[in-house]
Amino acid sequence: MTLGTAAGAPEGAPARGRGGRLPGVGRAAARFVAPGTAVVYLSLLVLIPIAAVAANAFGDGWSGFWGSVHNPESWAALKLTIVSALVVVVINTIAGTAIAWVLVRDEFPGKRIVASVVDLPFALPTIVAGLTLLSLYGPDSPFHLNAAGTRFGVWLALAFVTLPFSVRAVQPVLAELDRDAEEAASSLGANSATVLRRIVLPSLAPAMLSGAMLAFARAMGEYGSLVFISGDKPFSTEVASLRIFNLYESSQSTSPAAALSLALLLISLVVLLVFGALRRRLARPEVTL
Amino acid sequence: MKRLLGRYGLRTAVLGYLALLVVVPVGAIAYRAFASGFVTAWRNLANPDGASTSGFVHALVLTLVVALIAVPLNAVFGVVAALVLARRRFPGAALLDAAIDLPVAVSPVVVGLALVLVYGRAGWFGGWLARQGIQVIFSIPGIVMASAFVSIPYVTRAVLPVLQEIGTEQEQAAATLGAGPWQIFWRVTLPSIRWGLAYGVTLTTARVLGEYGALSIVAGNVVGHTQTLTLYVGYLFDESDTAGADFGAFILAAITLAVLALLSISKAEKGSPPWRSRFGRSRSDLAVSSLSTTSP
Amino acid sequence: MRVIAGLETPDTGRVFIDGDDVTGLAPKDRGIGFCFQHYALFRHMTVWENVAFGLKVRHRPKDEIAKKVAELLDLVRLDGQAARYPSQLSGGQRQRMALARALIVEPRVLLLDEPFGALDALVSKELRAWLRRLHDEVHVTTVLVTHDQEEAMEVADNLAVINLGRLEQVGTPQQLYDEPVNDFVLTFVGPATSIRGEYFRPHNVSVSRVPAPGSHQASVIRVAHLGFEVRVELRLDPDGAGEDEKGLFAWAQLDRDTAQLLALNPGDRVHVVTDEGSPSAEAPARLDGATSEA
Repeated sequence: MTLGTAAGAPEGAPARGRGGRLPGVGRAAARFVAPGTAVVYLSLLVLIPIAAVAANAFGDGWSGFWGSVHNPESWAALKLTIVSALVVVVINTIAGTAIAWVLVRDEFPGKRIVASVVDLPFALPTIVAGLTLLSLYGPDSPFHLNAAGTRFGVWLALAFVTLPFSVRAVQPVLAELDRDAEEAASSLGANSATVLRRIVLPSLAPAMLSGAMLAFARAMGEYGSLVFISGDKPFSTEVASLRIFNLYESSQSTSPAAALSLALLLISLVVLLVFGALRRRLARPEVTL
Repeated sequence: MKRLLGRYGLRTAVLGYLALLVVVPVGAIAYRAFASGFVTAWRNLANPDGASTSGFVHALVLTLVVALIAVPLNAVFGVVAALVLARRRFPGAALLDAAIDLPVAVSPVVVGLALVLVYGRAGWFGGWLARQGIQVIFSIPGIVMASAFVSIPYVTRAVLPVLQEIGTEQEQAAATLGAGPWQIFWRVTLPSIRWGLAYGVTLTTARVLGEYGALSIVAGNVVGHTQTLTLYVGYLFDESDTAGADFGAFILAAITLAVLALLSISKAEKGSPPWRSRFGRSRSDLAVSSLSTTSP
Repeated sequence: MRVIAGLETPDTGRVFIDGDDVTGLAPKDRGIGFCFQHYALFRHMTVWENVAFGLKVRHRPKDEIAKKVAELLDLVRLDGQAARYPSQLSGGQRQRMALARALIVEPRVLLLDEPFGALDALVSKELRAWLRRLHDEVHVTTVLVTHDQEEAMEVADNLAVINLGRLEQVGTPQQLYDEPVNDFVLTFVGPATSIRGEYFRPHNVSVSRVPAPGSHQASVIRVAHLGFEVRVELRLDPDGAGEDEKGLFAWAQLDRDTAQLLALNPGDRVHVVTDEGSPSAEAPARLDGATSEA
């Protein structure tokens, strides 16, 4: 079989003249249409509404904004939210790392199921999560452990929903970790605690922080699972998201709710930025090796 | 000896934590659903015109309709955004990247508030829309928008790493073989990202089905009209119909489990060759875990 | 290569294929076939679908596609693998499939971008010979890029040597070997040894125990037996003070018989002579035209 050269001119052969222009136009359209539509969609759905919140937060001017944020109940809600988020994040970062460790380095029958259990809070609608926790740790608790209406209940719900982030952020990094460094340290005389402290944890630190960031963002905004278990008690278990909802329902103007929303959003973003910067610094020491 | 103790100790602690926090509560609700919820359902099925049944059916239908609109919308956007971010360098790419992640940091009640401020009757666009006869808030479009808002990042975050890993060589080869841009997209690009896409779509669906907070502001909570399953369950609980709430929760949990199963299948497929990176694990695992930080 | 293919646009200059100016055309309109170093196979398609791709996007009738794919798979000896996926093929098989895929659309020019670079040496050698035979059978103008000069010399009718983006020389392998236009080409194409900074072909350098006119005195440092040839590493005696140490180290290539006759050992004193007809940097061979003509 011989493949002709010029003889059997294939369809792809350039037609004189016409070839150049059409693809060019098509390419230019594609270059702008695709990102353009994406930006429009994002704007209509996300960016403009968020901007509206920011604008509305100042509906009563700067003093209105500060007033709303400093309103005793709202302020208490903000503080409670931040504190709870931090507490839960610390607990779950430790627990999450431990779980990831067991999932990666330990072997036992049923390990797969444990992995799915970790994913469960991730996929479960939060309202269902709230109900499930309530059923066990609420007024009808078979353990007679009634956490409903307490801060502990709030923390429980937050721990439930943020667990997957802590685990999933650490697990792949742990799995990829090169054991050579640990083995070298062992051969040089370090015991397991030292190896853990000086070799493993520093490598995991950026991933742990990633998980902490995600968990924190989630905890700050959590709503559905808290609706029933928190009891919504002002100054006690009323977190920011619940307070925002109450403000929205009860106020004539949306500005107080918007103000608190903006404050919550800004605090979250600032903390995330700080975490992010910390993570970048932790990840850099590799270079000095 | 100490090592063994350490290992078993850790294992026990971890399993214990998971049991108390996750397994036992979920088991409890399953139990209650079967014990009392089913009875309620049975009773309701025997009485099809009963309020709670029709409310439930409405909620189910509404939830599915919303999912059928919001998920494909976000799937298309997600793929387009991923393609744009992976293949083109243009000013503002970093901004687009950050903007896609933004919904993740926003509390769902804030989402609801934000949408009302723009598309409500007194909102920026709402007035004009109302004059055209379009109602967004308290109506299906609003519910769809809220559900789409909270689930925006998932498809992009799942697909983008896959696109970056696969690179452009296959597409270039297709170009040299005579394929036009559309052909390249349909025959080469899309098939090569299909498992990443499946994973992202599954996460999006789970998120949409589970949304609550934003909807409690945007949907209006009118029984039989604008209540999704999640809102309905909340409503039942508020009305102290715990049996009904349990049943609804059970249905939602069952759907969730189905979604979880799909998740693990598509995750496994995603991780297998040829999508497995040369360095072992696909980076999308980590990227995807950055999803879903907004609570429904 | 990518400029010829249309995968990159040149800052200046034009590309002509068969006399047609294709500089403004998209790759798909140029009538080229391209093979990548890492194959760029469609991983989600079978071998059959990969090869058929070019015809499918041209909306050819099914039976024509089936016939041609069968022909090509037969040509590259992959007929048994049609239902397999690229991940199930070996490196050599993958590259053959890539060739079949590129050839099916009957390109005017076949562009091969380091096609054997990702394969191990043995497979690379086999495939190289196979490619040459294929070329003789199929008669498509082929441009192959490689940094393996042995491969280039073995496969090509014409060679172009490029150094840091500059076209140094174009010619047949023989021309480049015997008449290199500068030091770079001389050392790049074929083995070279240097005596006091001047380059010679190793077989043009001889070693003897007796002096000859124009010979250099040297001491043997090491004798390496590489099978058929024997390599003798030498240190030339310095001419005078201040001569660059490095320029004094040279090596000569002897065949076994000569080496046996001489029976050299480290430390022996010898005389090094360079042949008259040996090429050096002043050879008169010239560059061909500077535009890239495929």
